[in-house]
Amino acid sequence: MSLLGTLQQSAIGLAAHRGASNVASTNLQNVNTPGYARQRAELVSVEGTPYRGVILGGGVHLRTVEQLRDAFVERQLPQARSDRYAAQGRADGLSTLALQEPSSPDSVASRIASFFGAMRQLAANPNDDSVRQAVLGEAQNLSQSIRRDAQSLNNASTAIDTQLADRIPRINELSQSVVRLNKAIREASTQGTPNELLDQRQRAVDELSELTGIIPLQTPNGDVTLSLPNGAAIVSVAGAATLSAQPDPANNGHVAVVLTKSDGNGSVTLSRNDLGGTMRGLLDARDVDVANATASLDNLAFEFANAVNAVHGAGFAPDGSTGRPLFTVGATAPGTALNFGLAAAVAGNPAALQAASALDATTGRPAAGDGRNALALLAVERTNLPSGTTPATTAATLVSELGNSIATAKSESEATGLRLEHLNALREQTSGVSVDEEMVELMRSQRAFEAVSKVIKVVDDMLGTLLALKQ
Amino acid sequence: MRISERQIFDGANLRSQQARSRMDEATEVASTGLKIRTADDDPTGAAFVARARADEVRAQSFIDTLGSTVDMTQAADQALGDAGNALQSIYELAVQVGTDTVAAPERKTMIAQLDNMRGLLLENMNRKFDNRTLFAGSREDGLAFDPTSVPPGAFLGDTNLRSVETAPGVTQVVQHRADLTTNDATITFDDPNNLTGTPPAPTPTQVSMFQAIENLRVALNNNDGPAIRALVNPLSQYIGKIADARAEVGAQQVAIDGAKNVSTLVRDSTRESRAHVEDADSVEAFSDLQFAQRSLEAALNSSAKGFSLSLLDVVR
Repeated sequence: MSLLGTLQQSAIGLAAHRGASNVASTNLQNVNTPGYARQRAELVSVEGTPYRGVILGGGVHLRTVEQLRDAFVERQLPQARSDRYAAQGRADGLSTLALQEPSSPDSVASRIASFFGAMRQLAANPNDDSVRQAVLGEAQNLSQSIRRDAQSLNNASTAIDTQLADRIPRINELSQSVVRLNKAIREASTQGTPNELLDQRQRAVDELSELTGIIPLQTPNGDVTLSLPNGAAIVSVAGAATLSAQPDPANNGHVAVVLTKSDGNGSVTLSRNDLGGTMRGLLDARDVDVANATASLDNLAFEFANAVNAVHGAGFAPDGSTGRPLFTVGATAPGTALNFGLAAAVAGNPAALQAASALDATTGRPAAGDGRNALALLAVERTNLPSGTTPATTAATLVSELGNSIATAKSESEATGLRLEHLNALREQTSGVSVDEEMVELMRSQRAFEAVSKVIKVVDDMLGTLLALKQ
Repeated sequence: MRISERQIFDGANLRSQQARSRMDEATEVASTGLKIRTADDDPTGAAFVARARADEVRAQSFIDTLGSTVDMTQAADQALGDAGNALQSIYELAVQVGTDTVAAPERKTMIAQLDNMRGLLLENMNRKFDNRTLFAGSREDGLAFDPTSVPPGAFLGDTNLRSVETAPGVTQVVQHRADLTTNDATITFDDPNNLTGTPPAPTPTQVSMFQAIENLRVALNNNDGPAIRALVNPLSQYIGKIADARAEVGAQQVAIDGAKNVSTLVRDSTRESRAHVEDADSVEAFSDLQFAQRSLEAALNSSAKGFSLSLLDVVR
């Protein structure tokens, strides 16, 4: 090999080491970039050439700059991320619930006891106006307590609707972005591996899996297609589907998530089972936890009101009138708690309370001290409602059920969070940037660069020596 | 194991967040004194606390209701005691004027005294407590015995006795049925002026307390010694009936007092059980707080030390 050949070879070597230092430098600069996978410069020795019976080395060149990703870990991450964010979404959805402390005197169970306490006084003092007023006051407090809890549940559902609707534009934006990046990566791949575009796409896929639990699939041409857990394509080769939030009349007008196919033809309403990630968690919180608690509260209010009304209606007011219900109640349980209150004929009218059980034949009115119907009403307190337990126990169970849902959501969020954290740590072990490591790489490249520079200088000196021979 | 820069910082962040969260939780327990603040802290405990709280409210309502009922039975006992004294005076008057040594004018002068004592008796039997007539059954807004009837003392009440709930599902009558005390079917008056049949014998006639007093008044007016003497026994029996009534009211009072005490015990023990589940042990709470504080310090210190050791700090 000629000295000029050696000089040319060294120039290529210098470029290779400069490239390697550039890779280390890029890694260092992206040390905090989310979704960035560290890159590694692959230096390979150039095949040697025969020279007078020996093969002389051909130097070094930068063959490629590759991203370091662990395919096994990467494959597990979407599901782990979907599970984690589903649990987190459920916990977040339930966190907006503002129910009373269990021991608060304003809890439904306490208010039921207070209502019957006042009724107990009425049974002993049916002719006392202040006691009658106290019964109405406690009935009013109980109504407010039930309405407040129902309102809190309703508010939580509405807040979840807002959270669902707020996330949909971002999901659509990310889906479109994946479609655009697929195209860009395909085009750029003819020039080499477009690591930065791959990172951008990975970040979009990661965020989509957090939001919707998508399952990514790589096509042979390098595109990524994304499908929801139910198999519906959200990003296909043809393009991106669109999600929208629409009111669902079958679910009290709450937001339903509707998927419109990429070609714009055909749309389908997604159930909570069709989705994953945060969207699934929010729908679980709204359509399972909050819906169950609302149904239980409605049922308690409905059964309680009917039980009280049945006894109250059979009694007599001081003026001899009868047949009034004490609480308003519809024909079915749904919606009862939210509208729970005193019947119009009784509200603000203590004389309408029907505490007596019989009319006096001579006066056509009940005796002033007849509190036997109020006494009979007390039986409602200790009698099981049709659902199987007493009113106060039912209210306490409701507290427990809701508490259990929130606690389960939190613990699931923690457990799935730990799994995701572990997988993220495994991903970081492969793909994360270590400053120490990159500094070493940088110094190594620098040293090599200096060494090759020295070679060039030496060859230059040698060429100088040769040229001096001719003079 | 390869550790990336993100792992170092994220790990530090996570550890300090966890330590701070524990610290926040311990602070809340120590500052509120409650282990269960919201239902999700302990769902089972929360249900117990909610139920216990309702049971406390219920027990308190028993205590309140029974408390006012005890006052009423005490008033009834007092009224019956005073009525018994009035009847005793009437009885003593009958014994005193029943002897043949008492002359007609003297007996007539006793009528005013008798009327006075009958008035007192009626007043006591019509006694009110908290504006409620004690012995009129459920017709508590009127009089129990009519002072204007002929003879005075016709019963105006009804037979519906007041009851209160003394424990869940247990009721106790807390009123005395005075019509039975003042009108016993077994108490008779052997009227010596109404002799029938052979051999001559008095026909026993059932007599009420107020009728016996009226008969006494008539006998005094008629200077009828045998009739006066014949009324001594029925009056004596009605004194016994009033004593029986006092015993009945006393028994009601004891039952109510007992029930009130039981409700007090239930309330206190329920409160104690609730506190056991709900309240934090202050020593434990503060030692947890101290521990959480130390953990946070350790997490922050170790994170800071981890950041300071890097090749960047060595290679200059």
